[in-house]
Amino acid sequence: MATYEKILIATDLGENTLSLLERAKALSTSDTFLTLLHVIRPIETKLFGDMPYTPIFSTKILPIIDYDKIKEHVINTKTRQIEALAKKYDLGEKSYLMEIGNPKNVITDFAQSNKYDLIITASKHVKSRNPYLGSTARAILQNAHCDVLVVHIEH
Amino acid sequence: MSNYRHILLATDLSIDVEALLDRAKRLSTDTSKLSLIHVVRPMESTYFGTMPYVPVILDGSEIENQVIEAKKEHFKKLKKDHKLKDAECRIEVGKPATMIKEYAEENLCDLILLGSHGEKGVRALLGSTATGVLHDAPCDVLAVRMFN
Repeated sequence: MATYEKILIATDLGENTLSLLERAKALSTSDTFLTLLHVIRPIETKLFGDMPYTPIFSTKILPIIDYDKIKEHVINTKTRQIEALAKKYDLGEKSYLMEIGNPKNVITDFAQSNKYDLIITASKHVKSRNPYLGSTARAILQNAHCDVLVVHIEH
Repeated sequence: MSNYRHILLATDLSIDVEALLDRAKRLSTDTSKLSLIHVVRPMESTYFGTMPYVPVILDGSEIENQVIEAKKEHFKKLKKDHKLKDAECRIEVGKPATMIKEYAEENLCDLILLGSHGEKGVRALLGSTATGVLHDAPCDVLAVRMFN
């Protein structure tokens, strides 16, 4: 009795990924196709978003930050993390991937174009004190074409 | 296989219930328990909210009771059609999101199943129960996409 055929696990690579993976494993059979997806926010938006008042066109600041290097570093670190997770849960080689973009659209677009029938995500980042649903989870719920399982994270 | 022990199916008793029951059956094992809940919005607030200038002619509570009775019948039929002998069917009066969460918490449910309309813009308000349940839900929530 196959419940879902293709499951997409949307993760922020934080501690709660383990709960998501356990849930996914419990829901899947040997035929289920599991994919771990992590979306990296573009580094520029992130930096400028965090520092709205930084004079971004100032030549004094820009040359100091080597965006390519930071990006490379971030991608390398995250690749290692996601590889370790996939290995730990025996997901196989082609079962994880990373995309760059806004998680809110990338996750649902990816699920739709690759015909996933379930998206598993956490309700919020584990460190967030906000009792409400994370904005990414809400966006996934709103835009997804398929079922969405929001896993409750205990604090 | 899934390891949910107590699944709560929250329904508005529209067509969504078929899709939800299908999911519930696929996710449940022999030992897992299934409960159904439907929340009726309080009649008074709906009534006076939409027609603030009408004097009180109708007995709101009587209409409310009739509505609840009708819905109980609906549940009975559903139970018969889907052979849900052990399932508890509950009708509550109140704000749907709050009542669903309360029930889930009291009965230690580990999964809430509900339909999500996925409308955008103004119509997105229709799915507000789904979002409301997800906020601060005591357990996992599976939103089942409804196609119209």
